[in-house]
Amino acid sequence: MTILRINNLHVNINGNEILKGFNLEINPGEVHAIMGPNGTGKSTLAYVLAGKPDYEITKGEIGFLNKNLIEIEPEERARLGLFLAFQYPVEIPGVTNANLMKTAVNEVRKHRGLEPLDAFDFLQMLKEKANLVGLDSTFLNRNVNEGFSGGEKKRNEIFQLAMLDPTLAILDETDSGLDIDALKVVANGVNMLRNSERSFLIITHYQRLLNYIIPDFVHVMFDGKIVKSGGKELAIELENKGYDWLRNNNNGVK
Amino acid sequence: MNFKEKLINEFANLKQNGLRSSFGEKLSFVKEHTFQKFQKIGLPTLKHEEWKYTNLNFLNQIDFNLQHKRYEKQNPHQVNLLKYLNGGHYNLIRLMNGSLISQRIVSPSNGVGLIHFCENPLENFDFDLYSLFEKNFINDANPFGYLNTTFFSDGFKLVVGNNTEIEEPIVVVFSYDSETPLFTNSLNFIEIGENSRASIIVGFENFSTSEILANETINILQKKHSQLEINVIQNDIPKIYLINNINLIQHEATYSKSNTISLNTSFVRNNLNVSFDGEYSETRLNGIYFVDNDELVDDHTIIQHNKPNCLSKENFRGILDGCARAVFNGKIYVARNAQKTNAYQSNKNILLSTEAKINTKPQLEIYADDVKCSHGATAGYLDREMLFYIASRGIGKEKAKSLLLNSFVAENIEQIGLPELRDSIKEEIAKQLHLEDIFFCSTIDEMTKTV
Repeated sequence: MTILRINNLHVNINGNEILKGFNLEINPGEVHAIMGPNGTGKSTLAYVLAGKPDYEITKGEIGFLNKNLIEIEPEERARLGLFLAFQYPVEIPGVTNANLMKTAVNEVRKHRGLEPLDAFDFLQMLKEKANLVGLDSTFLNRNVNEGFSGGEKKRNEIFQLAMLDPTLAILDETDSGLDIDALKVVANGVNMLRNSERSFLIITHYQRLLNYIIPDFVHVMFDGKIVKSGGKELAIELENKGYDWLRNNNNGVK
Repeated sequence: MNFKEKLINEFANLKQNGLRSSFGEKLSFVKEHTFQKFQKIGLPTLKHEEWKYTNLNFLNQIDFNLQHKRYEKQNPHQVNLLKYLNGGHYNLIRLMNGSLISQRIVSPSNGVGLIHFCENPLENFDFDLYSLFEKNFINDANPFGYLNTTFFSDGFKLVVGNNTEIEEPIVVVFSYDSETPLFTNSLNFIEIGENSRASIIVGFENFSTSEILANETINILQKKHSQLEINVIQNDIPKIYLINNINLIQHEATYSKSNTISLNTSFVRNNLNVSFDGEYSETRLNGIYFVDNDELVDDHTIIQHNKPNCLSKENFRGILDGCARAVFNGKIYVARNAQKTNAYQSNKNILLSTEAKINTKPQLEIYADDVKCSHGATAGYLDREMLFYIASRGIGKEKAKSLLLNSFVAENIEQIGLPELRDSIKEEIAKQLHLEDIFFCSTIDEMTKTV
């Protein structure tokens, strides 16, 4: 079964068209990377997939596990197995990481027809997953993202990803603001979570993350749609030639 | 006949039926005097600065009458509030429709004494103590203060001796049980001796089938080096129009903390007043109000910094839903000689509906020049970015909302020092927010304890 199928997607925000006929298909276990210059609609795509309000879908379809994603509420999408690692994770004062995760994991389990985890199993899971991205337990007692460094916030996103065990994980600029050590930790966490069932959509401006998370497919996005697709070597070509190469190329097409 | 005219009649009857013989010369004089003052100022209307946002039209729409007979039912309802408390370890003073009906003092009798006004009205009124509070707090700003003095017929005075630490909280429960609309007044005093420590819980319960207008006063005097915690719990009291007056005078080097919690109330006006009459004292005023439907909670606080080197910290948080209303008015007065005063005030509100309304106002009157004062008030809706972030983790809208609201008030709940009471209030609020166990386990340690 195809995990994600996006067909001719057009999206407006505040009357401006951002996505202009976007197409993409992701199969189980595949890692897709989307690269492209700033302002080309990459983050819009991530938010639209996660169901953020404020975006108006004017045309096209999004199928997730053969369901019409457009009609599904954000929390329901998450329960179905879609996860977004935010580019700018939100700080939530007063709600601890542990509390958020306990609530989230049990909501997802409820959806899957499973009993809530008891405290013992939950704690085991919490520690195991935190370990994956090198977070200690004091970190779990802190309020969600409050006062976290950039690196901690991104690690926290990957930790949450691991906890929620999604079918499709979308990583929106997870590498931005990370130094090389943090980048390695995050990439390593993601690699540990790769398997034949789980797919990834990695959105990034730079190629460097793709040195650590090797994608199966690379797509280049420009002006609201994919203009070029290829294998992992496309990322390197893009890095060498820069986005101008693409702009000129694209203008040529027009 | 409007409510004021009715009160004038009532007072005329009272005089005719022996005000002097019932209360003695001195107290009768005080009552006459305060009633005159009331007559002059009248009942508050929206034109009255301190009552601008609190409509009292119901006073003329409901046929409230003063209670004349003592409450005589043999088996009054159980006190619900006690479910919050550790079996047996509390002192209990219970008033019904404004008269004291039962008392249970478990703390050692050499440390705690109770005087029941009604047992000997001619002897049991402490004029000196009353005058102290009258001077500070009974004025035109609150005509209900005049009415309280005029119409109270019962109350208690509880004294915690010097050098006494009482472990068991002092629970004061105001209960109401009436089949016709009733206007009740009680006037009570609590004195905390030097170097002593105590905690008070004030609760309200209504078993009436009819509306109640309750105008209750507790005057608390804290002698030097004493420490006090006051928890005012207003939970699940429909049909009561409550004017709750708590006045606190703090002598030198005293510490007080109050937590005023209003949940599921219909109409509440809290007048919470603190006066520093000694140096190096501190007070913390915390509050939570959670209003829905057409409920109203009006918290008026006054902190009088009369002496130098005192600290006050005030933190009230409100959640408003439906077409509910809340009022917060925090007055801080710093006298000319009260140098080195520190006074901080914060009032934050979350509105859950566009119909709900909050009127919040800091009111600073500062006459000293070496003072640190700050105040801040906010009102807003839940943060959409936060709600989306939580939803994106699979948590439904209602639960996401509850998590955020819960976290909004959590800090104030933590201020309740009595663990059983704190846990019960947590539970009550979690229940209202439809949150279950998650509330109790927010850290790894807490979760580990449940394994």
